[in-house]
Parts: sequence; structure tokens; C-alpha cells
Amino acid sequence: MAKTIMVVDDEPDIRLTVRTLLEKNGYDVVTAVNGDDCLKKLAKQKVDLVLLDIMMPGTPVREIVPKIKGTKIAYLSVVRVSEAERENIVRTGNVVDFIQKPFDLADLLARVKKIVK
Amino acid sequence: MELAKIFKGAQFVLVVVGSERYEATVDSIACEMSEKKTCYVTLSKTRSALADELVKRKAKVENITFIDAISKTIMKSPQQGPRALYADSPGALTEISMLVSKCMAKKFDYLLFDSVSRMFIYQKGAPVARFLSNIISQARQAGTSAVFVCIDVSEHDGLIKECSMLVDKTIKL
Repeated sequence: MAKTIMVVDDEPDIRLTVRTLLEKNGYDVVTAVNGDDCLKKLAKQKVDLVLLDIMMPGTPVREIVPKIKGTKIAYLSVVRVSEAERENIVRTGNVVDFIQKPFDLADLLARVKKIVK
Repeated sequence: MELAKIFKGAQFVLVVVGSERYEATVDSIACEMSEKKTCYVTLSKTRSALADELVKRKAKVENITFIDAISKTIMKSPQQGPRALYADSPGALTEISMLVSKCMAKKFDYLLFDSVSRMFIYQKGAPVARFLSNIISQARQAGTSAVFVCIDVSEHDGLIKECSMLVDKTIKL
């Protein structure tokens, strides 16, 4: 059965690119335009991984993440953090990865595969 | 580009730079500014990431006070650093404005705003114009020279044009 990935990003180009990449590689993809939309969709559908943009209008991710229960989260971030902060972030709750934008598509795919295998 | 050239005939400058040169440009401006007392408003990197990077580039970090609008967006309790003030998010314009005001009261030589583009994610049009006007007014009163960095993205052309009307000079790199 195909794994389902939710792509949460306010930038339509990113949503489209990541969706295309993941669908081409056999994943089911759900998209959301911000954190609130993500929570609304997660209430109706279970997914295996949420790719969550860090900088979006609306509720900040620090408030969204604790509400995502039992689903792995990987941050997509245009924001740069220090190595120590990255380690702390990845250890928080169900956040399992911190992917820096702009990302390489092959790298993104490899990381998604590793997380949801 | 040298700071002297950027500020030639201007106190408030909007630097519009392509994404490929953005980081190098901001780092170079920050390094040069750090020779004097500088207030660095960051909407792009956490204070910790910035400080690490600037130390590597031999900037005088001890001269920089950071207003970090990123760390609290991601972390509940950001790693507190020296000379750092934290705003809730890049969209918290009133809070950022108040923190800038707090800094300007201490008479800084330079203000670096990194970046206007990140603000566009949260706010557009009138609120951004009001915010920038407010920052410029505070800096003018304090005698502080300011650089506002903006990434050159075609979809932001209208907003960049609006911002350029508020500063003394716009430089496109």
C-alpha cells in the first residue's frame, strides 16, 4: 500500500514540485496551504509523514506541531538555524528531520524514503 | 559592495539582490557594519546561526545586537544569546517595531534589516509600508543609517517598488 505524505507549504510552486516528485515515486500526496489547513486535513485523513514549511502565514509551527499526534514531521525550512538548534529541533516531539531550502529533489526523496520506509 | 558606496548620499537604502547572491551580500554588509555599533534584525536566520556564521567571517559580533524574529517561531524556548531580543514571528510587526525602538534609544550607528522579502510572507502592502516608515522614522531620530535587504523576486516587484519609495536610495545588485 502506498504511503501518504502531506506537503504543507504556502508557496504553490513548492507544493506542486514536491507533489509531482513524490507521486512519480509512488507516494500518495495530500497538500495543505498552511498549518491550520494541515490540522483540518489531518483530522480527516491519516498520513505517514508531514513535510511542514517553517515559515507560513497563520498559526506558527511551534503551535501546530504539538497538535500533530502520532505522525512524523519533517521541517522544510528557508530559515537557517545553527547545528545545535537543528539537533534540538529534530529531537522535539515527532519532528524527525530538518530539510533546508532550497533542497535538492534527489536528497528530499531519499530523506522521505528513509523516514517512511 | 562596500558600505561607503551603499550609503553614498543616503541614510536609508534598500538593497535588492538576486537569491544567488543574497547570503554573501548580507554577510558582507553585516561584517562591515560590525566595525561599529549595529542592530541586526533577522527574519532569515536564528541569532545563533547568524552569530556562528559571522564569527567565522571574523565580524565583530560583540558590536551587534540581534533582533531575532525566527527562533520563537520554531522553538518554544530559544537558546538565549547575548545582546539578543526575540520577537514572536516575522509577522509580529508591532513587536519588532517596539524592539527596534528599544535599540534605537541606545544610539546605534547601523541598522541591518534582513530581509524585507521574508516579511512579505506574512504581511503585504499598507502594513509593510507603515512598518518600514516607522522603522525609518525611529532610525532618523537616532541618527542611525539603515540597510533593508530584499531578495529580487518578480512576484514581489510591486511591493519592492512601494518599499523603494520610502528609502533614500535603492540599489539593485
